[in-house]
Amino acid sequence: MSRIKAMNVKAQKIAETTVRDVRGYAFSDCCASFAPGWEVGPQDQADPCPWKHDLTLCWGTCWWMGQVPDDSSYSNWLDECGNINNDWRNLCTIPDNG
Amino acid sequence: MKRLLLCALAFGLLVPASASAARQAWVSSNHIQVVDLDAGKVVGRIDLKEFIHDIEFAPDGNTAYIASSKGLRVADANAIRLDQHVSQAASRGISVSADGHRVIVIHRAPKADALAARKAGLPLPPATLAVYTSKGMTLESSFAVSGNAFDTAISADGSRIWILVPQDGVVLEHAPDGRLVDTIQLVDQVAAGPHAAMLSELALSPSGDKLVVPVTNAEDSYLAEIDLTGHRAERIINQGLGHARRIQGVRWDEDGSGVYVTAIQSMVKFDGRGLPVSWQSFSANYVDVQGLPGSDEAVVVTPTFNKANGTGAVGVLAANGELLRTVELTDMSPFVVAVRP
Repeated sequence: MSRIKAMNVKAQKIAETTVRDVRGYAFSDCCASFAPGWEVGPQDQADPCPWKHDLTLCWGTCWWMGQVPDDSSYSNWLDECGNINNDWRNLCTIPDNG
Repeated sequence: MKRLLLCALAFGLLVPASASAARQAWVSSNHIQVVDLDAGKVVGRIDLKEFIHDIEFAPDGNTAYIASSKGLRVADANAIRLDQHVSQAASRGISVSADGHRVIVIHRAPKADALAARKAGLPLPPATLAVYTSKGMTLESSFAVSGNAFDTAISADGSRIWILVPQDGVVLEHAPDGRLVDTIQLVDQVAAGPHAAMLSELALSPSGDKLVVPVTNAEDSYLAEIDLTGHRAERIINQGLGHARRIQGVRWDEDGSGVYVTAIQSMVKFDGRGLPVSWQSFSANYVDVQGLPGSDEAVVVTPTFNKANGTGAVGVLAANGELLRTVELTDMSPFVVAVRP
């Protein structure tokens, strides 16, 4: 990649963009398991949880890897969510500086 | 006659006083709401803006200990008011000894250190297990534990402490001064490879003779039951739960008659007799549960009760799974419930 040179303004801007360093869980990092997708409901249907539940579980209890911040590095991520069903929009911002 | 009337009046005054000591549940997301379970309404609220991982009451019910993203707090349960901000470190895994003298909690390392470690590909920095004397919440001792330490338990007299470290598949037993007494290996996470098991909670039986840890892996889910008496031939028995749904909440009934277990849209009171397990199915997903003392009812919470308007709810369930009462919470999706003793 380093041999590719930005040839115009737009490419220059992209090259200058700082890569965000928000990391999802990685196996053995803080998440114990790498087995998403096999939870089932009482009648063996696919995981029937509303996704907001899983969002919280991925963050706080580390059920499985997810592209959400982890509780260790972003412990305040859910502080603005009294009712996650309605307040999830507050989750869209992760500070670049952590 | 006058004396009789006075007695009747006094009795009349006393009965409502006793009735007003209604059964109460504290539920939380980023704040706390106090629910009168008999009247079916919210009777108090503690506004915070910090995600609450755990609430535990002192045995006399007068004090609540709250572990959150912004620290460890102590609340006056009668006044429904925060009294003390003991630590500002992100905290989880509170346990209170049955004699009420000791409170233990896991304080996480500063998040900047955790983030730096993750960026460097290093293990999480150690967390701290803090032992407080409940009177005045003075720090009695503290010691470093794994950064992945997740939950705790403490013996009735406060002389033994257990710490669950899911990533290592172990429960560590410590003395209050930090001395490691025992390592109880439940799961070989390394051998399990990427499909490692999820160990999500640590629950000490009311009699103090057993610890249970819910384990969910790719094949099934079970309760790892650890004998603490040393009298049983097998120290660890894995009690199958008959399916592979992830286990969410686990709580011993206060009389020791069983363990309430919630999984996705289902719940059971597991009595330790093994399979088959009669799961009750629900349309809502109850993520936490606690039995109501002196009855066969249980309190459950769900972050999403009404999908149309996004309300969460607190429910009281009869032993047969019938939903006796529901309190919908418009501004809360509760994840934690604690019944006041």
